[in-house]
Amino acid sequence: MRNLALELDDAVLSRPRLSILAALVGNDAVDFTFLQKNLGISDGNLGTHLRKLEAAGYVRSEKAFVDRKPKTWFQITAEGRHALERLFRQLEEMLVGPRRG
Amino acid sequence: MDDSNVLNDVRFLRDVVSKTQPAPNYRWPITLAWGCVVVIGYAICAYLGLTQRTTLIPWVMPVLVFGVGWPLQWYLIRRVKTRMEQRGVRPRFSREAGLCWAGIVGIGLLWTAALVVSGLIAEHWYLVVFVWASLQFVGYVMNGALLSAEWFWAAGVMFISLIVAVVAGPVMYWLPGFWIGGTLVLAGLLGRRSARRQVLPA
Repeated sequence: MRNLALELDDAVLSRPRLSILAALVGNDAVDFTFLQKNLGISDGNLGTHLRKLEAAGYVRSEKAFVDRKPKTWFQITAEGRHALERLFRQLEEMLVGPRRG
Repeated sequence: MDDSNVLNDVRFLRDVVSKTQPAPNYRWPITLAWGCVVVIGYAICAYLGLTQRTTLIPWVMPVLVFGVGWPLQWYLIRRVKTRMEQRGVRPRFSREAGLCWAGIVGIGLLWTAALVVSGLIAEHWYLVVFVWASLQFVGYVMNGALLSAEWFWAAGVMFISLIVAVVAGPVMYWLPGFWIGGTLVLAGLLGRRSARRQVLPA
């Protein structure tokens, strides 16, 4: 029998990384401070999780100035979106069975 | 993984999404500004019409749209964008809504040009008002479906004003024209209210 749980993507399947992607998916880009304030994750932890997501190709970063202040912007990539969609599809499959049609 | 953990994760995710997604109507100042420009333009046209200075009427809207509306929109877009970026968010632009409004403005301009070129506008000025009011009704319904439910109020008001004008006859033909700007003001104010309810953390 197929073990669906083993097919879940580890890069997405963690509360901080899932919440980072959830925060990014509805916006064009958000900055590091915004994520840190809204997700309640410490600087170091957030940096580690963002690096993991960047390494997986799910997030990309860009440095820019807003009102002469440096900001690091994070954007979800197309792969990141697909990874989220895939995860929700897999979870749905685990809970209610495969989709028909 | 027990059920309470799963529920906690779902709740956490729900809180993250509600805190990080911008209000759907964060561009309300632009809507409100356009509403004010159009209402003022319509009032000037009505005044000129009542005082028999009709030769000036065709120039009122183009002058207001290009001389006031566009510069104001340019300024407000920059201001709204900077304010959002200072809060750490670059909101997503709805391409679907943008394309929908580009189509509406394009078709509206074509109809207006056709009415002017054919000379129909001189005898039946209200046709141009009906064309724009009907097109805006369609745009508001699209906005309601794509952006936020407040636009359905604007669509409802526009629909009622069109029905009233058709049923009451020439005496009420001015009504949809008034609501072209009026519904934008209404949508801007409703957007302001919803944006303030969902204030992003500074």
